[in-house]
Amino acid sequence: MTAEQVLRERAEALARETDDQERGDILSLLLFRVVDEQYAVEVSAVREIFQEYRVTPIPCVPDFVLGVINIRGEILSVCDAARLMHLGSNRLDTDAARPAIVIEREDVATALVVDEIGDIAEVRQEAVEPPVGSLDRANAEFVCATVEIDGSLVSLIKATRILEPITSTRH
Amino acid sequence: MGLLKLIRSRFLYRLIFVTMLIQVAYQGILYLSIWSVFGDDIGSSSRLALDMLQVGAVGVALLVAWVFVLLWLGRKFMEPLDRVVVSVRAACQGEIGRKVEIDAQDEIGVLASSYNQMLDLIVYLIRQTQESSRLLQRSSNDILSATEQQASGAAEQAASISETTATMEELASTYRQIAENADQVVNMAEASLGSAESGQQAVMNTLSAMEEIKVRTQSSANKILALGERSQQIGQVLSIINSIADQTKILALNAAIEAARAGDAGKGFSVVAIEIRKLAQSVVESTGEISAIMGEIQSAANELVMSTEQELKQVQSGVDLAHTTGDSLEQILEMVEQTTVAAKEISAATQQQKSATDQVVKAMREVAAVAQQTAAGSRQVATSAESLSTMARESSQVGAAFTIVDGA
Repeated sequence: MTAEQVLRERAEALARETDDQERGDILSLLLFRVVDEQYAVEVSAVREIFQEYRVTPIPCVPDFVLGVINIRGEILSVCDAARLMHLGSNRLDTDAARPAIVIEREDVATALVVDEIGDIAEVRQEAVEPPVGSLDRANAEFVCATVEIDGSLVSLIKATRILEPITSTRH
Repeated sequence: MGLLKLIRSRFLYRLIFVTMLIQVAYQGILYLSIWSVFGDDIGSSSRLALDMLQVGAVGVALLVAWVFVLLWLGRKFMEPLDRVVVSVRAACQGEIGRKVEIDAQDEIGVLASSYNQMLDLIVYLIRQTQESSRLLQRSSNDILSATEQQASGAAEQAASISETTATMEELASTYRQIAENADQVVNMAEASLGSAESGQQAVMNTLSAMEEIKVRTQSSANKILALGERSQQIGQVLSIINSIADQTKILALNAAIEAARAGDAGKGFSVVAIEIRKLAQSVVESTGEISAIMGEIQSAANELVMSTEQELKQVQSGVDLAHTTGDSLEQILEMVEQTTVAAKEISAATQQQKSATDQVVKAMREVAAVAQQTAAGSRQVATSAESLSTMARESSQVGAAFTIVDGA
């Protein structure tokens, strides 16, 4: 039995599973970590992920904007998720290669620098619950829901709220 | 008969008798011749015959007178001779020294003076003899006592010599024992010499083995270091693999995102992307395990290197110890050689002492023989002194047979 056959069988098995789950309303979430917190964002709002990039700092911008990058000819602003969500900005390993998630809604896009990219999780719509009340205001601004994935609570980020400053600068 | 005996015993009486007989014969012849010539006349004349008788009477008277005169004179002449005779008779009976003093120049006077001289000589001789025998007695007594002393001294000497000989023989046996012990010491020293030499050989072997161990440990330490370096290279390769897996992960995520955005059309692709992502994840995990194992290997290699260094140090200290042992063995060798030489000297000296003692014993035996000879000689001397003493006694008896009368 060759590896190709194994992969094919597995793919078929997984495809059947997806067919079974299709009856419910399934939500695809991309998990990531900022400082110590686990967050998630809807895959529909994510355009791509990249790890190797060169930030060009720009003046006269809020402190959460690290600069701009050139992705295949398109200039995108780069935001630090930790600073944006007031999770502590005094990070020592700023020079370390940190992955960035390109979030896009309608025609507005930005790159959100996080600490670690997790998995893509598929959850039912019923598993999505309102955010817990104990969140502080700054954090609660960005969090729209709480999802339980593999026994841990993950905050679901509002992509529109992330893109808000950029859209507001546009308008 | 009494007259005859008197005549025989006394020379004077014999002379008188013989002279009287000659006179009688002479006168008779004379008278007979007268008778023959004048007989006729005498017969014829009475007067003549008477004359004749008268002549005859005168003749007889003359004869008698002559005998008395001769007797008186003879007595007077013979008296000194009688004294000499008396003295000689006394000397013959042991009473020597009675001298005869006669004032005469005739034969009797010469005889008396010669007799006196002879007496002096004899007295002198007897006195000398008595003195000599007394001296001889004393000397022989002295010799006897001296010989007795000599005999007791010789006996003591013999005892001392036998004691000395016994002591010397004991000494000789002791020297023999000492010589045997010294020989044993020599044997033992030679045995320990052999042992020390083999020990030294063993130390040399140990040293060469230690050197070999050192070289091998060094080379294995170098190999281990090389291994550590190799494992570091593996770590570099692992980091490359890791970064490739990371990129793969990102790529898979992007693919999954693209699949999700594609909606239902991308469902299958999304599964594949997730599978790829899982593979990349498992690669990362595997490389993590590998790097953990590599870390273990490296730490083990470091420990090995450390322990090898320790081992090298221990080997070095073993080498030092072996050197020390070798030096000690060297010293032991020297000392044992000295001991051997000393024991041989002791043995030789003891042999010399033993032969010297044997010579002393021999000399002692000779001395003992001489002492025995001396004892025999002193016995002979004692016997001779005894006979001398006897002789002195005899000669003093001879002297005692004579009584010396002084002033006679």
